[in-house]
Amino acid sequence: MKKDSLFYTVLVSVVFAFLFVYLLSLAYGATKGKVEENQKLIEARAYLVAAGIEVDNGMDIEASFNSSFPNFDTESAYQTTTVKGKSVVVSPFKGNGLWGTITGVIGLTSDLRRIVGFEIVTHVETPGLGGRIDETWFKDQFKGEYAEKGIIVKHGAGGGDTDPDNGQVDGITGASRTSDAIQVIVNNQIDILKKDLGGMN
Amino acid sequence: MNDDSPVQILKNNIWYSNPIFIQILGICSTLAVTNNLTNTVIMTVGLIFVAVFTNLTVSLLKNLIPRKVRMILQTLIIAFYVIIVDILLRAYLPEVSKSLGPYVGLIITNCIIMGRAEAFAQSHGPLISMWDGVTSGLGYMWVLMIIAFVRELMGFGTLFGITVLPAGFTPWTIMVMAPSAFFLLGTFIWVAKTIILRQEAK
Amino acid sequence: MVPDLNPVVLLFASIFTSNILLANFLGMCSFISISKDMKSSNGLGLAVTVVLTLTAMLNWVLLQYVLIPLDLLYLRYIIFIIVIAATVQILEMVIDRVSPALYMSLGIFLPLITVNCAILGVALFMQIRNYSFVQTVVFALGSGLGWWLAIVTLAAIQKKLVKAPVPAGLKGPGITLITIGFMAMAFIGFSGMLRVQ
Repeated sequence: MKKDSLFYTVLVSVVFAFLFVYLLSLAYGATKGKVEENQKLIEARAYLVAAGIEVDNGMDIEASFNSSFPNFDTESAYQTTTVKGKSVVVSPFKGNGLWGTITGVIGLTSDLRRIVGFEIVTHVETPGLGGRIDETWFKDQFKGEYAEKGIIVKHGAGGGDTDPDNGQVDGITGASRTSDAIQVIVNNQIDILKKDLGGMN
Repeated sequence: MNDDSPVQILKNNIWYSNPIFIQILGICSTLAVTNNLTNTVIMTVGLIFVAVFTNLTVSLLKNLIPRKVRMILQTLIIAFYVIIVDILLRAYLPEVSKSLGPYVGLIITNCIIMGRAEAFAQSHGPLISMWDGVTSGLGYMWVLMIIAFVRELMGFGTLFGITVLPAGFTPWTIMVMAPSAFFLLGTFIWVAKTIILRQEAK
Repeated sequence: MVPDLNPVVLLFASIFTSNILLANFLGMCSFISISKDMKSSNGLGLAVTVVLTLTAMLNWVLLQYVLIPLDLLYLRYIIFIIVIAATVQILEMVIDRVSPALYMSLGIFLPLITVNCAILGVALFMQIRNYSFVQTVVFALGSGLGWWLAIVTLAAIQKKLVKAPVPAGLKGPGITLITIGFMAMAFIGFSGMLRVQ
């Protein structure tokens, strides 16, 4: 068979294409379960972190999630749980980042005065810049932060604001718009919760 | 420099014919993640993986591939391995996959891999082609790691996420943003070229 | 969730503040080699813009109506590349027929557009950020125009640089990169134009 003939060219191309797609679908199929499981674990973990529950690498996240949120109501904007005797309100948030959607979970004390925990689930911010909202130092700033009047995300350099009473956290150097977006998203979510919970009272 | 011994290939790819500062190839995809050493290492390791296997595959199949569709089939092979890397990251290192975003996919258009497949794997045996892939990747990696080292250190005061500089250090915001990568790379090229020119002058 | 982005804002952002090349580092390979000549730069800029817009639209359609419904998302890299290669091939034939002179001057650069990271990059960003059709078109058009603007500006600067006394080690790619760095800094100045939506 002549190597340069049209028939050979088409044949090889088609064979290659099929082979590659087949192999890839195998790899995809083999890992699909794991990927979905990972996604569920990331979400469950976010709820735990937002509720202020300590999460470490060895623990069974699913078991802990089920015991903390036995009556998970998918229709509701928030879930309540009790951590160390205190009631905590945990709510997933979704909002516009610089270019795409940022989602995560935030937890507040039942009087909505202080943030208990904050975790990012998905984002498409720039790696190394806006993407740093997913770094521990950034998220840890929210723990225990006084939020009655909303929070402010400060521009400029900062390695993490350790004062929980000033209602401020440090933004990300060089990513001022992502930082602003976080401020808007968090404050919006607190407002939504105030309306929902205020209505219940 | 036409000697194809493994040692010569290593020397060429790491220094004399370095893909970044001599051939100026493949800077696209990876400069974006150089503000962070951890991401840089992961991206370049991924790139080495793809380069090695692409070279191997192209070398093994070179007698079967018709000339007309050579480039598109090479691209398919590269895309195949990149997808494998992407799938593996998603399944086993989801945090990393999250932070690298679309830049993993961009390894496909990285001119180095295509360039080596075309220039080397098409005309050499499988084992030596794999070696060429490894050394090209390493040549690429060390330059980017130096740039990332400077950018992360001056821009965040950390290295691999660990705070290294004292708290009083004011980070250089420019290092975190795009222009610094260009400046640092340009300076790197300047230094490397000056050294090479001096060596040649002797 | 499709992000809530005003198309006009997105257009300006992709040309200026988030320029595909100066801020996202995509599309550099051919950029550095072509920018020596103004005419080719112009031609290439136009070609890249056209290819970007067309392929982004096609890829969006394929993504929404084939890849996602059939759970074939993991194949998107291959599909996108094939679409890009095919579009470039067709564009080559069209240019050859319509304007052989342009074809001659663009020469080898046309096939290079296929591996231009910017084109695949735009498709990938579009997918990961979940843009709507309109947002995709605007983003691709803006990215192309931004790339075009960058390459033409660089070509103009390079013309002057050729006559300047540049040290030997810095000549060529070294000084080009530093110039691009300054351009990137200048474009950051545009950030004030946009506010958080």
